[in-house]
Amino acid sequence: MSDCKKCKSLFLEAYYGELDAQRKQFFKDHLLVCDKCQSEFIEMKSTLKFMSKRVRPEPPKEFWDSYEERLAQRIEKEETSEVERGSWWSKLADAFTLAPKWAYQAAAAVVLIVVGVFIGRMLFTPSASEIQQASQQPGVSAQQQPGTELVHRTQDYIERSKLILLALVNFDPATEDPYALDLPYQQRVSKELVQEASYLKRELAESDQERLENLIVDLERVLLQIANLESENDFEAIELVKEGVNSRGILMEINLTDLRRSIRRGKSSISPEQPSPKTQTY
Amino acid sequence: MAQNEQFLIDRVCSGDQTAFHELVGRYKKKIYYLAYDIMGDHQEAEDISQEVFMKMFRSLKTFRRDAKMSSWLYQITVNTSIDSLRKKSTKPARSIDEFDPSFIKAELPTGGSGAHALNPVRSAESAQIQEHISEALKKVSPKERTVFVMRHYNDLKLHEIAEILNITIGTVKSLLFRAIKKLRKELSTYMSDPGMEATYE
Repeated sequence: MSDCKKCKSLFLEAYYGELDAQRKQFFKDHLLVCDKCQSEFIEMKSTLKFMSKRVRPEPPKEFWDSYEERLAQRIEKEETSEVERGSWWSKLADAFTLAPKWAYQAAAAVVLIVVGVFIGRMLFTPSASEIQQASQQPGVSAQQQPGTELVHRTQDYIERSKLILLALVNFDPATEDPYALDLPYQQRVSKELVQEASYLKRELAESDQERLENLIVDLERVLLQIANLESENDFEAIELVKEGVNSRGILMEINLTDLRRSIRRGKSSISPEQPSPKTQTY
Repeated sequence: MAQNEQFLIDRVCSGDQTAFHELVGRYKKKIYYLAYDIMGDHQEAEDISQEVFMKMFRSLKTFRRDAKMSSWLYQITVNTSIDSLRKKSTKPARSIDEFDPSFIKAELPTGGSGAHALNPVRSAESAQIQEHISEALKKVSPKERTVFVMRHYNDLKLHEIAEILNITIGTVKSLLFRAIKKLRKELSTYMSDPGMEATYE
């Protein structure tokens, strides 16, 4: 090690008076012959001397007099909180150690079921926005939409009723073979529809579908008349049924219902190419 | 270790409260001042010093009887202070030497004459210097500051610092040199003053 390097390594000990006699002598001798080391040492010494100008605020006498008392209070406080913490933990630990093995298994099973149900709901339940989106899509099946199942059944009912009415309305005994009407079949279907009407009316009333409910009531009356027809040759009775259909405007109402449904679906069911109900044939 | 200190520790271990107070009384100022020099805040210094004595109380039974009590306490003080500084680094820093008005400014053993309070001009200059020194100490890293205050303000020898911090004397010197270099840079205004220069006597 060069003398300068050795001298610099002794700067701190020299300043703080930690040098033994031998090293102190070396240090002194080197500074006398080396201006660079002397200058650097003076620089360091001036910085440290300046830092010695710092004064610490001295706490008042009372601070020191009551120091032990405050410390004792803090120790007591922390020990109390540790005891409380310990007792809480020990209570918890006791609760676990006293419980029988089956209790853990039952608790674990319940936890697993709850977690499973939760995960299942998270994965398979669509969000409110998804339901709303689905209801706005025209191709979505009725079963996916709450309340649409009744509407769907009603529409189906109206369609089947319409076929029966059209068959009867379009029947002209003067020009057509009475057996072509196939009245026994029309009567059997009409009876089924009358039976179905009683349930459908109640459900429509409950869901405030007044217009459809009224239509079903009208259809039920006409279908009941058809179901009670005695024979295909009872032309007078058939004419009465026809009049009833026309007077109540049932077919008109059915067409309007179809039209509203089509509008809701974004397309019209009545196009120029389609024949009017009066001209439709069964 | 002094014979009576060993006896004192034995008494504390046997549950003698008076002995514990006596032991605290011996070290409370040294621990408080070291914590204060590192933290620069009175309240934090008191908290840390109390924490040091609580740690001492808890682990006194495992204390090696051949070890030096003061070194052990300084070690706990430094570690507790550094931990506190780490936690504090996320919070807004307070000025070093920010003090309670009820406190009195005490000259450090290595300080000046203490006659400034009688002269208003000198007193104002002194306050400014104090502020600048505090600011300069804040610019030094916690480890450098710790080593610096241990040596410069708490009169611990280089080998003692090395022992307490469990580092070599070379590392202690290196940290001290770095601290002094930074402090000099921060206080360059005063350092260029020829009146401040000193020569080796």
